[in-house]
Amino acid sequence: MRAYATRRLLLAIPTLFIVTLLVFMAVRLIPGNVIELMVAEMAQEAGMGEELTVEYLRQQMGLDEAVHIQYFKWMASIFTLQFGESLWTGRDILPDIVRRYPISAELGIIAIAISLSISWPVGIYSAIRQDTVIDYTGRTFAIGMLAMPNFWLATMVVVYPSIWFNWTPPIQYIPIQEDLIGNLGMFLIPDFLMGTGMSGRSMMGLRTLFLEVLRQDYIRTAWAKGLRERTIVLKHALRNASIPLVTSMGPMVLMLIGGSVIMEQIFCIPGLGRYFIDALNTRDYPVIQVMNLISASSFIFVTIIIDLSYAWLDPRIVYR
Amino acid sequence: MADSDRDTAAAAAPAEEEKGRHWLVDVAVRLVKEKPLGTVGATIVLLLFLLGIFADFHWLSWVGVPVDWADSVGIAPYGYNEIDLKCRLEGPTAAHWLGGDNYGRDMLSRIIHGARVSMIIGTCGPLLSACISVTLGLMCGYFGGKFDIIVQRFVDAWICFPMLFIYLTLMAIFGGSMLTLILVLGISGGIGGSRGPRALTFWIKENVYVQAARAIGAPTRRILFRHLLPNILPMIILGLSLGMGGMIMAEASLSFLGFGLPPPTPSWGGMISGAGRIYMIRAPWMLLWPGVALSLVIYGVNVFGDALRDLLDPRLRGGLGSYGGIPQKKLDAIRKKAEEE
Repeated sequence: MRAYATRRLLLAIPTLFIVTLLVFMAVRLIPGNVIELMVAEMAQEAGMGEELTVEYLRQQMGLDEAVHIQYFKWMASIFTLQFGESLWTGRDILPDIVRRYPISAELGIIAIAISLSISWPVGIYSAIRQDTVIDYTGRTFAIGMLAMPNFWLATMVVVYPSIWFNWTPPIQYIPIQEDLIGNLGMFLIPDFLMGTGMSGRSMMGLRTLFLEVLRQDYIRTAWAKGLRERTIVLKHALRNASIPLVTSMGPMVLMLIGGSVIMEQIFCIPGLGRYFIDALNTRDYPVIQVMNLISASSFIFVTIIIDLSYAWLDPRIVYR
Repeated sequence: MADSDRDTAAAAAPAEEEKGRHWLVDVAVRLVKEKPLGTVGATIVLLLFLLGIFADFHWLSWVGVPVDWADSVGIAPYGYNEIDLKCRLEGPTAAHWLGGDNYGRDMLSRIIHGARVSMIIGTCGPLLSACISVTLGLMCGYFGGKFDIIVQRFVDAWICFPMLFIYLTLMAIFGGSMLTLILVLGISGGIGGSRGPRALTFWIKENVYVQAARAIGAPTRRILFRHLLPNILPMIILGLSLGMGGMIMAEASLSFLGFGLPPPTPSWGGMISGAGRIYMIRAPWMLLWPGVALSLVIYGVNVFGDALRDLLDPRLRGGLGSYGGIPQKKLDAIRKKAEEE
């Protein structure tokens, strides 16, 4: 286990290195004339005409030196947690991210909780009652959730209830320190949409997995021993099915990050997704760079944790 | 993994040719016979293509055919940018079945032209992605060694980024147009998708027939294209059908966020975001129809893709298009056998 953990951690190093390389390269892909365009745009809108020149911008983005030196300088600043400052607001990026991170995390954690509390019971139940009305209802729901784009549903949810029921979902951000109930109420609708959207895929996966587990020999043995169905499903089947499920959490986190970008945009939640979109809209490349770096490297850490817990859950597996 | 079953899927293909028809035709026949839901999905996909191709006939001018009559024939009753102020924000009428938008453009025509956008993205994106993933996968799987190790580290790093982040970043850098959209979606999908063909190639190249081909001195190119490529063809077809839904949805999401196709283009995602959001109380149909069209198409593509997966790859079962984990026929056969014994 320890050897595996060490190897897993060491393997992450080249991946992390290439991630930084890709993020670094992305900004170098910007066509030259875009920088001139940025100068024109920003000088007009921010009213800082004199000091804003092509040279200043190139220097600000670290584009005025040899490529490898640029890379080392950039890496050095990343390691010392100096993420630079936004081209648009001039503020340091790190405090902004630290401030916004809990908001996005709350959004994501509640969404995962909702998704799991829908997909597990429904997925398991439609597997043990295969080809019944319940199974078909559950699957129809899953297919529907997969097909309907959640940005469409979200857009409609923001407005139509106010016409039909005289009730508007809260789209003003309420900090958690001020009003806990109001804060949760605000997250409820975007989280419900994200959660149900994600539950479709995991429900189908869980159902397939469960159908396979239920046909294993040890389940037949459990039936033969005369155990109750509840014991068989919850103890014997669930534990064995839960192992592959843990690995499916990684892609779920990625989906979550993508989903939160859209939801934060629609529901005006000042989280990281919103920050990213704002940066994209203003072509704030330092911010875009940092956001990409952070999301990719946090994904690497999440997968490491998942792999390690997988090894811990299932000691049978021999690792290469 | 399910490698041994991929073999049966691949091996089943030539066996079915005994009847004298192509195995793709066989798959189509089985789809209609065995997968009712999958057939519905296939019909929706077919409809998407028909609407997309025949929305109007202006594309004929690109291939050199005179288009004097093109305006009058297409399925779309009006052009997607044709303004008729009488129907501005008006509900459904006899002249405009789905109503009109805030500029007085016919919604039905815009939805039909939107099908063309989705069709082009949903076809070219997965095709490009398949080309890249197969080339990368075949080369990594066949040559292995240092080349494989280096390329795979890049693939590992690439799939660490949330897809939407990659799309958004690249679209912000290169600007929104149909070409950049296809390139961005296709290339990023292709890099991530190269792992499947690679794993399969690793396994197939150990087969005796590949060794035999190598032994009689067949050139590498011949082994790659005549021996390995046909064996991963079912996987490529699956990748195309599954990629289609993902890329149509990705285009819609990007256009919704304002990083996809620029406004006059009738993209379903874009229609939901811009004017659709502003006017959704006065003219709900502006928001409703693009969403319905998008949901229907994604539903059709998903269901069709899953049915196809069941048909091409018996082990990877239990998707959206199938009924139950083990096909009923197989269960019956097992039961019958047990009774006989």
